[in-house]
Amino acid sequence: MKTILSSTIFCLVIFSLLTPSWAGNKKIMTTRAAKVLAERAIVESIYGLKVRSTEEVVDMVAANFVGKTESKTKATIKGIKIEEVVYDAGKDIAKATASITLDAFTNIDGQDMNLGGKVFRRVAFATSTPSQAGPIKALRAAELDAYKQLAKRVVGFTLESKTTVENYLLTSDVVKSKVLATMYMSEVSDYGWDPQGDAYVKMILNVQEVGAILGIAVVGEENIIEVEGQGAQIDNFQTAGQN
Amino acid sequence: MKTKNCLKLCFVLCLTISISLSAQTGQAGNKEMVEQDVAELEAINKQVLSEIPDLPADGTVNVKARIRGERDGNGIDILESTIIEGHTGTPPQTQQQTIDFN
Repeated sequence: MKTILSSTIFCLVIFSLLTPSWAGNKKIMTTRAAKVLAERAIVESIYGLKVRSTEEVVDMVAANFVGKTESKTKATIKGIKIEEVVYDAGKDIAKATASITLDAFTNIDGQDMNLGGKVFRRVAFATSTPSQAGPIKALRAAELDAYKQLAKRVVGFTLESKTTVENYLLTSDVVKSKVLATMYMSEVSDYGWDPQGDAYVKMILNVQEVGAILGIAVVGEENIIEVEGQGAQIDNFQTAGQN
Repeated sequence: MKTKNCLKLCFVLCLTISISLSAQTGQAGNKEMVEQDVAELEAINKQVLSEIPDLPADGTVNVKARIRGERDGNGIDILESTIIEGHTGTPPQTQQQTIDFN
C-alpha cells in the first residue's frame, strides 16, 4: 500500500515538474507572432499600404449591406527594434512594441521621404489560442476600418447609385462606394476595447508634417486628420438578418 | 406549498431569461456599425441626388460621383448622371457636370 502511495506521489511530482516546460512553446509562438505583427504595423506606418474597400447597400436595408476592406503591403526595412514584449500566461496573449528611427525612406508610391530621425512606434497583439483571438481580431478590424476612413478623407471615394422612383415612391435603390488608395505616415494615437468587447483604433495623419517630409506645400487642408475605426468580435448583424 | 414553490421557480426562470435577453441587446457586435455605414452611405447618396437638377417624379437615376472628404462635410463632383424618365423605356438623357464647392 505504501509503495503504491509513494509511487503515485512520485508520478505527481514528475508531472508537475514537466508541466511548465509545455507552456514554454506556446509563449514563444505567441510572443513571436506579436513581434511580427508589430513589425508589420511599422511597415504600414512608414512604407505604407494599399487599401481597397467596397460597400454596397440595396434598398436602404442594412440586411442587404455588403462591406469589404482589404490591405496589402510588402517592404524591406532594416533597424526595427522590439522595445517591449508583455506576455499574459493566463490568456496566452502577447503585446509587442516595435520602434524604428529613420532619416530617409522611399514610400509605397516611390516618393523619397526626408524623415529627419523621426521615431515611429507601433504596438501589436497576438495569441496562439484560437479561443482568445476574438479581441485581437476585432482590434485589427478596427485598424483596417481606420485606414479606410483615412483614405476616404484624404483621397476621397467613388459613389455609384441607381435610384428608381415610381409615383413618388422609391421602388429601388442601389448604392455602391469604392475606395482604392495608398496610405503612409498614419499613426495610431489610441486603441482599446469598450466594455462590450468592441475594439476601437484612433488614427491620425499629420498632413502638414507629411507635406514637409515629402517636400511639397499643402495648402487649404486640415493640419491633422483624425479618424476612429471600429471592429467587432461578434457577428450579431448576420444573426439578426437570419431571424 | 408545492404551487408556491412552482410559482417561485417560474418567477426566477422568467427573471433569468429577461436578464439574459437584455444583456444580449446591449452586447457587442457589428450590427450597429453596419447600420451606421448604411445610414452614412444613404445620406451621401441623397446629397449627391440633390445636386442633380430636374429629377423626375417617375423614373430611374443612375449617378457616378467622386466624394472628397472635407472639414465641413463632403465635396461632390458628379462624374456622370443618367435620367430615365417614367417606366416606359424613354431614351436616357445624359448630363455631365462638375460641381466644386471650393
